Amino acid sequence: MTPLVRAMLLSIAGIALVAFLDRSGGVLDLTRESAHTLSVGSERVVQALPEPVDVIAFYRPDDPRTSRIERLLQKYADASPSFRYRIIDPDLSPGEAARYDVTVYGTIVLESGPRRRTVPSRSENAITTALLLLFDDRPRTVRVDESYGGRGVSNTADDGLSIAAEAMRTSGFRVEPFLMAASPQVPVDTDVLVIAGPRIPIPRPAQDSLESYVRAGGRLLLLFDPETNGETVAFVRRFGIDAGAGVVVDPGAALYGGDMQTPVVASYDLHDATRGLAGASVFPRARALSLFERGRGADEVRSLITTGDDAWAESDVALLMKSGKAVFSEAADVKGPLALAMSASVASESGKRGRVIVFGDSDWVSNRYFAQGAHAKLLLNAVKYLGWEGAALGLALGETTSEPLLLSRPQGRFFFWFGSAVLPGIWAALGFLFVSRWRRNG
Amino acid sequence: MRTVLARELYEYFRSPTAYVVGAIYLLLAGYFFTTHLSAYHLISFRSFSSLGPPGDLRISLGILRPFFENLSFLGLLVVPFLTMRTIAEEKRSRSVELLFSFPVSARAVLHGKFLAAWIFLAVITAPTLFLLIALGTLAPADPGVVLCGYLGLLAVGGAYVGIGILISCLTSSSLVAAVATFGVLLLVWTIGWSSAIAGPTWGPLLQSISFLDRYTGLAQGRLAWGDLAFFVVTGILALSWADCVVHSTRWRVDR
Repeated sequence: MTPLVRAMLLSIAGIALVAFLDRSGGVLDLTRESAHTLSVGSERVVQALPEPVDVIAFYRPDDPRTSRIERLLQKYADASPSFRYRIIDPDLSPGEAARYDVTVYGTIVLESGPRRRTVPSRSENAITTALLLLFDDRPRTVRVDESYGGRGVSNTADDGLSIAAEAMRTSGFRVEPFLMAASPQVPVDTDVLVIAGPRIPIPRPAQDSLESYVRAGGRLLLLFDPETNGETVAFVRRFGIDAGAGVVVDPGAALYGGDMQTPVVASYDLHDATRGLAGASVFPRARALSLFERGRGADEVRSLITTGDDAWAESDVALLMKSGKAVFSEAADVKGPLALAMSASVASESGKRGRVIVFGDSDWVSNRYFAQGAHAKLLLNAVKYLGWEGAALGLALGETTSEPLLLSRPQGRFFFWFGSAVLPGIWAALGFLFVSRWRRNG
Repeated sequence: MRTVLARELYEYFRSPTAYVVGAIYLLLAGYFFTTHLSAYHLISFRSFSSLGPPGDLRISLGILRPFFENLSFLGLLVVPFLTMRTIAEEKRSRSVELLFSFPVSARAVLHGKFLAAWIFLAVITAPTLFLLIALGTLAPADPGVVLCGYLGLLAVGGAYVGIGILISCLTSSSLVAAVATFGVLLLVWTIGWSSAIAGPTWGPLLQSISFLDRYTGLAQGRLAWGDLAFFVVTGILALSWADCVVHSTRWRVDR
């Protein structure tokens, strides 16, 4: 074979090989935190797309956000060949921008046949949610009960839920306040009912109404604190979940700089509502939950979050509040591990299972704590588990932790001199030695 | 091939030019690294000073990625000096007939010269690892990103050297070979920048042959087999076409 023929054959084979590998999309994510891989939930959604989706992102090349959104869209494209994307400069292609009614830089449009949807923000959560809504655009409604002193969605103070409500809206939910006290029947179009931090007793008729709602296939997210009265405890027992007295204390996993009443949880129990979840959550002043009675009230009761073995439920709350200290008492306290969140599932005549998730703390969803750790992911996962069926279960948000790095003055000088003088200097000195020796030796 | 490889390596390490080129390469690599590290420090400081979460600060994106991209760009400056003399100088000094009269094939000669330049490039790149080891004392540099970055540098370096040798085969002037190699490498490195104005048909094509676009993923720990294969295939094709050029100019003396 002549070199010319060999070069031509190699060229054809080489180009074909690269084209094949480009199309097959084989990618290894070698980063420690899987930065180039979608979260489990997003991957499941994009791989289950019923039809190919074209994604058009309208970004200018000089926009600093462009490379970031391109990296994110590439993750989806790596996960499924049905996801195709292109980035268009709206200034260079005003016709394309007009065709998609784009008037703002940074708009992302999803398109599949006649279906079209604009992504409200640039996060993985927003894009995955938009993918789900592209093929199933029935609006999901979350109603947040503000009766009985519960936290409100329009409350922007530290103890409000305004940030959590906005996060749910970004995830495709319609979030509305609701007053159970004024309208005891839960509206039929409610996909998830949230009660966060009730401070006064939920009356029996309201409890009956809530139970009927769940047993008819409704979904309830209840978050309540140690101060909550016995009436609410009696209500969760209807679904096989018990709530103990006292406050959870975990000396082995208390927040650094915080007190013993703030347990930190870094791993989650195996459950669809926590699948793929990474990052720590903090539960200031939580109460412990447990199984009330097996087989009573619900078909299935499972824990979502559990403390370590060192934790206990401190019964002497007065002393704890006064001194900030607690000592485990074998006789009075309940030893860990303790459940901080549990779920219950009940069958209904409609075939749609009723679901309840109970948290022994409501502070973690408040504006004061919502931006901490994995709180946003945890709440959205729980709401999606309750409000969506099928593909969206276990939808976790693919966010990575930030790694700030501060240098001291000596460190900064070290790197400057080490990189700019020491390394090249050593190389030049070695070269001088070798060359002069070779020349001396002829 | 081993004889040619040993002879070429000996020539590289005996030449003061190689040490000067290596020292400048390391100086620029160290300077760019420090610049990005300082910028990352300032952004981190501002994020602490401002209200709210610190945002998307990641060492692999803020320090490692630009570090590896800079190294790949510096390779583009260095490789022409390494490859300009490989064949062009032999042609100018009329020693090419002698070289190809050795009992080795033209392909083996090319492969030997290729490997020697490639190994030399790897050797002058290796000390940059000390910068990342020093960084590791402050913050853990992601080993996967580092591995992928250096693997990509080896691959892109092979493509650079292959192109440099091919161009060196086309001329008998080392200077012309160096300038042409730099021009071609700079063009293929940046050709993706034109993709935005090239339209939907040519734009993706330009991006797919852009060294920078191909290397960006590798520099941040995303090992796409297509990107890696692109550089390896480019190096192999450049060498096979260089072999073709050598034969077509009938330098080779039949054994």
